Amino acid sequence: MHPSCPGLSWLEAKRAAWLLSLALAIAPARAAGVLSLNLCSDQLLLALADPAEIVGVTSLARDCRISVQCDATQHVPAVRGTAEEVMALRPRLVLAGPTGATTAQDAARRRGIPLIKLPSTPDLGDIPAQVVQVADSVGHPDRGAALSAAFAARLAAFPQPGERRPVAAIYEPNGYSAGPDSLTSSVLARAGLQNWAALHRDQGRIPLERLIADPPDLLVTGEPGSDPSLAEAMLWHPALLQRFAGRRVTVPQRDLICGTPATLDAVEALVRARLALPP
Amino acid sequence: MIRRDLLATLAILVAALFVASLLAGEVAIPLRDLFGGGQTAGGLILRELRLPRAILAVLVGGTLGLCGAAMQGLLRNPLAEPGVLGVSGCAAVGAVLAFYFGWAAAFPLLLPVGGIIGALLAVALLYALAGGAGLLTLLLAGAALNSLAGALIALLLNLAPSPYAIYEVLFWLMGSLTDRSMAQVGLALPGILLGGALLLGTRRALDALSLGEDAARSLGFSLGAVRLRLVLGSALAVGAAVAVSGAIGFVGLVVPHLMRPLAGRLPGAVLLPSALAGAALLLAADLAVRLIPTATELRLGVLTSLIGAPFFILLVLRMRRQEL
Amino acid sequence: MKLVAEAIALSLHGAPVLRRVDAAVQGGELLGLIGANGAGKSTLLRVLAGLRKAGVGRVLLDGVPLRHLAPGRLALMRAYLPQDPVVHWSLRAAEVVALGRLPHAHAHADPAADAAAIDRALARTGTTALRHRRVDELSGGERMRVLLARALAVEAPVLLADEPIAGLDPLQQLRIMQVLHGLAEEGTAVIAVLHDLTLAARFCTRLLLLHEGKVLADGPPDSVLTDAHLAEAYGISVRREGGLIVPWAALAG
Repeated sequence: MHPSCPGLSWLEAKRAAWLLSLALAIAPARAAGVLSLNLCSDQLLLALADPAEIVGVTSLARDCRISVQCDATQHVPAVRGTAEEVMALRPRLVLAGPTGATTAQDAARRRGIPLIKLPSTPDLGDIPAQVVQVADSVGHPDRGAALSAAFAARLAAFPQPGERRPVAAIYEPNGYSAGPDSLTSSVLARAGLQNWAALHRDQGRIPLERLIADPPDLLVTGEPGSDPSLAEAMLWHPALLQRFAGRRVTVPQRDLICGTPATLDAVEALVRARLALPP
Repeated sequence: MIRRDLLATLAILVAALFVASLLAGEVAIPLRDLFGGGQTAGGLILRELRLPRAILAVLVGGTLGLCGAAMQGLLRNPLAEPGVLGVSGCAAVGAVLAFYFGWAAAFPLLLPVGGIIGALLAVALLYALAGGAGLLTLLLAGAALNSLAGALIALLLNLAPSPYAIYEVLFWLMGSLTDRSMAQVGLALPGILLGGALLLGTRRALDALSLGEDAARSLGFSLGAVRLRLVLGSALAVGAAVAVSGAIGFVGLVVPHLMRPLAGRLPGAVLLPSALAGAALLLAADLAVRLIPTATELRLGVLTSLIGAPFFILLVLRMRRQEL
Repeated sequence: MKLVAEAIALSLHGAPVLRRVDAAVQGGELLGLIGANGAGKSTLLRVLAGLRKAGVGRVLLDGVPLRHLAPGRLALMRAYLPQDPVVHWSLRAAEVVALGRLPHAHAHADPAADAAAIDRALARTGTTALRHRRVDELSGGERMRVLLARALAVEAPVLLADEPIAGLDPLQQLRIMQVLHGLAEEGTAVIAVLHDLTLAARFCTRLLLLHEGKVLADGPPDSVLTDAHLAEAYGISVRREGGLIVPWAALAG
């Protein structure tokens, strides 16, 4: 650019050096590995592939609050999901989610790297198919078959919803509640519960007063975090504690964010809570 | 007596708005359910949601009005108030530090204490500057403190362990009384009452200061004692208030100006009316925030800024015209 | 009531402002503090009022050192009228005068006594008609009289006034000097810093002439306002006509 300064600027040189070292560090050991650009595809990849076969997962996968497979990330590199990483790491396959990381996906396409975009799984029944799909693509179809069979068996083992279906509200930080076409709604249905938010045609932010004035039979929240925030503090407001004493259950957030075999843990917890409700 | 009438009128106004605040909310609740008591939905909402909210509106609004009037009296400067001068912002920094990094979780009182320490640093700095400096320097110092506070809050929220922290910057910068509980009332009450008492105690000294420092001293007032009371009182009250409600601006600016023509222009006479009027203003604003239908909740500070900022500009223009 | 300053010495920024000054005033006297600009008059007045501590020496009010008196007690015993007629807020005259009753509020508030004192102070300074007017709308002379009324409202046995007639027209000057003189006649001890030699000679029972921080002369006006003293203190020669002392010419050197 600058006529008197041909070649790279200092900043560009630093960047190139970093990418080169990344490539050199990772590439030989993991030649032809799989890269995941999305938290949910991270989960399936970590569950179905060996660490040596994984070129990278998102840094979100390390956070045990939102990632079921957080322990499995110990020997797996974390990436930010940029186009440069795709170019530098040369994966043989890229897994992405329904949204986000668009530039990285474009880079993969341009380089002719196979890209699988995994859609979200608004229904529990969508999960086994996705497990099989990912297992096949990483070259472990047997693992996929086993996992999806176990999933189906466990799902079938839950008691069928009875005549009476209590109403449950899943209250997320800041007072959000998911609507009818969502994984949480499907989980509630399988556990024999109705979705309060769907019944009230209410989505997005639900004020505390609404929840108390027109209460569900069961209140479901995430586990109390050790890191304070106003968003999570409102879930433990004295008014809620009093209103839902004995009618409250906590389900880890990570079980409901992505559709994985661990989502059935949430179903189990909710079934137990339903059965424990006073008649 | 004019003054007694004014106080009575303001007290009635505050009481009326308080009751309205209990009756109105995000959800319409029939009266008989509201006073159903015990563990009924209405009783719970009244006791645990609307009551603390209304009480905090009175305490925080009263604090801001009182502190604004006291600052204007001491600094002999009608543009002074805790928001404009950066005291509220710095209190928020202290509260953010205490809340998001776990200290307040271990010892709840550290939340208002954090706010108080933040406010104390700001007031001490302003007071050190105010000694010889004019209006302009003071306002610039306030603007600088506000910028610093905003940047520090954003930085701290970014560094905070909770992933939700970053999205809460608006609460601290604009303020809100939503979803507060009686626990927060308890945390803020000591600082607010103590600080308020200290500020109200400066009433006569502020009157004497109308005649200048020498005359005030000759009338038996120790200037050092007045300053100390003002610094401590403001820090205690504003620090505790901001720790539970965020930084709500402009109440302390607008209210004394509205009260001055009614209460007489003696700076001490404006103190108590400003406290009551501040409580009334914040109650009214909090009512408006709940009754105005918006997709996401309108922050209290947004409303007070929409009223207060144009007011501030008008004040400055009026002052400049008087100088000419 | 006697206010006595003993051996007062004071320096500002290293430069001596008062060097071993002795002064005294008692009830019934109107003491005029005169001298050139920078001679130390205002500083001495503030030391006498207890608003400034002297490096050396002490001030006694009825035999009690000032520093042994609590501020509230001292406020009841002496009233101070500063040089600068500042009123920071747009107050009414009556409100300003009422501020003079603040020292009495420390002890116990008596609204009737306060109101009576305010009325007396307004009447004395001829400002009763102005009581509902805002001070920022008054003329210079009117404002000075209102502030003097504020000092009078304290009803203290000692009154210290710093240049109470500066910048006023002859009528206003006369009025204020008459008030001060009348006060002294009734038993108040009054000290006023003055520049006008004629008025000082006419109204003051005693004069204290300061020159470069030292007392040059102290006594009845005739003995103080001699040509020799005026030449040394002001560097001027004067002409005397009737009661007038007219500065005539600057003296060389």
